[in-house]
Order: sequence, then structure tokens, then C-alpha cells
Amino acid sequence: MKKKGHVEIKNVSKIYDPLGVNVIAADNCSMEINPGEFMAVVGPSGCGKTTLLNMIAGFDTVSRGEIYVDDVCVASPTMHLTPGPDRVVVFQLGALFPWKTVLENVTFGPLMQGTMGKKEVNEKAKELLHIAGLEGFENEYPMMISSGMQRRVEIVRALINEPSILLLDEPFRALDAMTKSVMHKYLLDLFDVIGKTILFITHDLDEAIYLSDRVFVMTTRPGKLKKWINVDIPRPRDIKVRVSERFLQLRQEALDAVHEEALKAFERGERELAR
Amino acid sequence: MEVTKKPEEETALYREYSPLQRIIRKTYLATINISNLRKILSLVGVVILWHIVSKYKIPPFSRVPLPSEVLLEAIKYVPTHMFLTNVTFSMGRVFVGFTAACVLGIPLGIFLGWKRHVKNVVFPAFEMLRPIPVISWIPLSVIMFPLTEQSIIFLVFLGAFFPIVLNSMLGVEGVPVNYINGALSLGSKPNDVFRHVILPGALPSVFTGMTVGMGLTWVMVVAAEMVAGGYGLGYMTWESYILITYPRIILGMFAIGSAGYLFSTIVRAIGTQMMPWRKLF
Repeated sequence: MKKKGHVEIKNVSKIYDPLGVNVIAADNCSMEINPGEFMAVVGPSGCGKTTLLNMIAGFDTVSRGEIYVDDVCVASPTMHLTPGPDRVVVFQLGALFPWKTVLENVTFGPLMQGTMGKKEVNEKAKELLHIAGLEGFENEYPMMISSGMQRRVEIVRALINEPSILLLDEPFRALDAMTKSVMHKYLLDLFDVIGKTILFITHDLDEAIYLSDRVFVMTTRPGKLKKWINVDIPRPRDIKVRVSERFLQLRQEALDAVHEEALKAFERGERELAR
Repeated sequence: MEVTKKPEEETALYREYSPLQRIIRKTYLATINISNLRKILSLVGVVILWHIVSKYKIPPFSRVPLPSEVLLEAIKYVPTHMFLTNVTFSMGRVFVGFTAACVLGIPLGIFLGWKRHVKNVVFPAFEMLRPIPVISWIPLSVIMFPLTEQSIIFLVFLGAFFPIVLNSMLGVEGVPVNYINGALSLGSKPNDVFRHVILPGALPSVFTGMTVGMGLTWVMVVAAEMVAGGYGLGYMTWESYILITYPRIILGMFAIGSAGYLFSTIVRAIGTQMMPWRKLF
């Protein structure tokens, strides 16, 4: 039986046509993510990485090419599946509902889909929150807990739906460095345990290499695949990995690739797309 | 001198005193609290200033009654049946008009925000009427509604209606798209998104509209009563001018202000109850 979470993106392009001027956001991207793989996508701001994620999730239509999840076509120029819990997204600027408690937020997905009874889902939610180190905070409102905890709640909220693939759109961008390092550890531990396919978008190279199995470096707009980087550092990884020789080698490789692109983007006067 | 109590004192209060003693002790501590004393001093200062300008007939306050006269009038008039009737009439009109504005306005506003097509049809007409000051509706209202009561309640309704509809609509439109996308990503259908994301997300704006509307209802009720007559605090204030019982004018003003403040506080309290996640409302 094939493991769930296989994503294939075939020659996908996204073309915006706002005022009769063709703007190519993503240009002929192809990639294949194996089940249970942690894939990172890095690139300069505005290169189209979020567009790519939105297309997989179903928030955006595909202009050319096809996207398959577990051999089911989820997007093509003629159709796309609406966003759903099998390809759940964790957004950059938090999307935790401020008017619901932590427990209500986490149980939202299964309850809305009707896949679990209330008692069952509450228990499962409490269990997952306990693993995340958040027990005792089930009845707090999101505004009362720290940003690191909020991100963890969002990830739990996504995971409880047992998605085929977890899509993370720069989830740790808004955190300070110390909280970020704690969140990295948490995500790594989580990944070791649950082994789901993860697509992680970031602009932070170190983060991408530290967390993932493979890094997909995108060029500046129009975003194309520039370089693959296979991160062959064994798991489980700890903080010492970040100063190991292999890590620094990979980092140099990625930095060279991205720096070239960033210069090009800067010269063209790109401004950060507000997301 | 301490302005805030140390934690040990706070717990000591709860451990050593009975509930009644706690209330007495807290009141006593509040009165000798220096920031409270400063606030009281400021109010007393205003009254003293008022007394001076009235007594020595400094223009334009030369015919304004003295604070002592207003106080005497209050002691004489407030316990009377007439005053109670006036208060009841004004409050009743505000209550009915405001409730009608909420019952009609909030769903309409939310609907306008949620369905673009409806908004395109209804909103232009709404925006054409909104700039008209509600007070200028008074003559039309008198023509439209044969009974004084209906006419006044209609004006109160209008005063609250426009801010309530507008703020409800803006509240729905202003729900960050992140929350909607998050809900969709978790497998919600559009109806669920409306119930669990749009409505709670719009609630703070709805309450802003209600608070603004509540303020305007009191303006309208006083203005309408001054014109149409027939009981009410506004009518009483205007009547005091006609009958040359000037202290009662000031009394009427205080009464209107207090009643308005009371009603606004009630709306705010309801808001805080319904939105427990907002500590800063």
C-alpha cells in the first residue's frame, strides 16, 4: 500500500493578469515530494513560493500544468479542489480564531467535517496539546498565550485532521530568535513522531536546511526552480547540527544560489509583497 | 503616600474581614486615596467656579441659576410623580427605538457585508439618506406618524439605525481573510464559516455601532420631545424655559446626561459579556 502524502507538481505556472499586463508568478515549476518527506521551499520575497503553496492548498487556480496529491489531480487549468483538511495550511500571520478558546480552535476542523463526536475529538485534542506541551491552557483564549504557544496550537489544529500533507507558509516568521529555535525543536520532534509529508515555505535558509530533507531554491519572479539541495544530515537532529561541517557546506551552497537571485531581485527593485 | 495597595494587604483584607467589613474598609480606603481625592477636587472646583460666575453675573452666565438653586430644585422635584413620568417616557422611547434599530439594523448590516450583490442594490440608497441630519427628519416624521409617540420613536430609531447598519456591515467586511481561509482549510462549509468566523469577527464592530447609536438616540429623543411635546426629559427641560423655572433646565440636563450614561454603560456591559475574549473593550 502506497503511503499517503505523495505530491507531484508538473510544469505548473501561475499567470496573473491584473491590468492586461501578464505577471508570471510561478514559471514552469516541477517537483515531486515523497510520502513522509520534509520539503522546504526557499526564495527571495515575491518569488512565488506562497503562490505555489496556495495552488496546492486550493486557494489559487493553476494557469498551466497539474498538481497531484496521492495520484488524485487536485488542480489543473480547468479545475481545482476547494481547500480542505487533507491539505491543511498553517499561515504566516496567525489564523487562530481569537474568539474561540484553544480547545475550541483545535477541535474546529474535525467538528466542522463531522468526522468525530464531540467527546472523542475533545480527548484527542487534549492528548495532542499535551504532546505539544500546552496542557493546562485548553480553556485560554489565544490572546492570553505567547506567540510561540499560538503557533504550536495552530500546528496541532492542523494536524488533528490527519492531513495527507501539511503546508506551512513561513509559520515562524513573526517569532523572535529564541522562540524560533524552540519551535524548530518542536517541529523536528513532531516530524520524527508523526512522519507526515510537510511542505515548508521560508525565506530563512538556515531554518530550511536545519528542518528539511530537501530544499527547493526558487529564483526571483518569475519563480523557477533554481537548485535542489539534498540535506543528508541524519535525524534526529539537535542544535549542534547547525554548526556541523556538513550543515555549513550545504548552507554555503544554498547561500550562493539565493544570493545571486536576491541581487537580481534587488536590482530590479522588487518590493516585498505584503502577504 | 501609597496609591496602590501591596499584595499582602489585599489578602489580609479577605482573610480577616467579613464581607460587610470589606465593603466599608474598601470605601474608606477609596476616600482617602489621593488620586480619588484629586478627582473629587476637580468636580468640586467646577461647581465652585459655576457658583462664582452665576452669583457675580459674569456674562454670558448672568442669568444662569446657582448650583444651590439647582440642588434645591432637585430635592423638591425629583421625588415627584411628574419627574418619574418624564423619566419613564424618555427611557421608554429610547428603549423601543434603539431595540428596533438593533433588530432591523444588525441583520441588515451583516447581510450587506456578506452578500456583495445585495450591497450593490441597497447601499447607494442608504448612503444617500445617511448624510441627512436626523434632526431635520422631525417635520417629516410628524407628517408621517399621526401619533406623537410613534413619531418620536421613529426619530430615535433613525438616530441609531444608520451607525448600527454601517458598523455591522464594515465589521463583516473587515474580518481578516486569514481567518476565513483558515476555516476553509480546516474543512468548513460556507455556512459554518459565516457562523463561526464572520459573526464573531464582526461582533466588536457591531457593538461599536450600537454604542454610537445609543449616544445618538438620546440626542434624538431630547430634540424630538422639545418639538413634539408630551412628557419626557427633553420636554421637561424645554418647558422649564417657557415657564421660567430656570433651575429645572439644569436639572433636566443632568438627568438626560445621567440617563444617557446609564444606557451606554448597559450596552457596553452587554458587549463585554458577549465578547469574553476582548479584555480591552
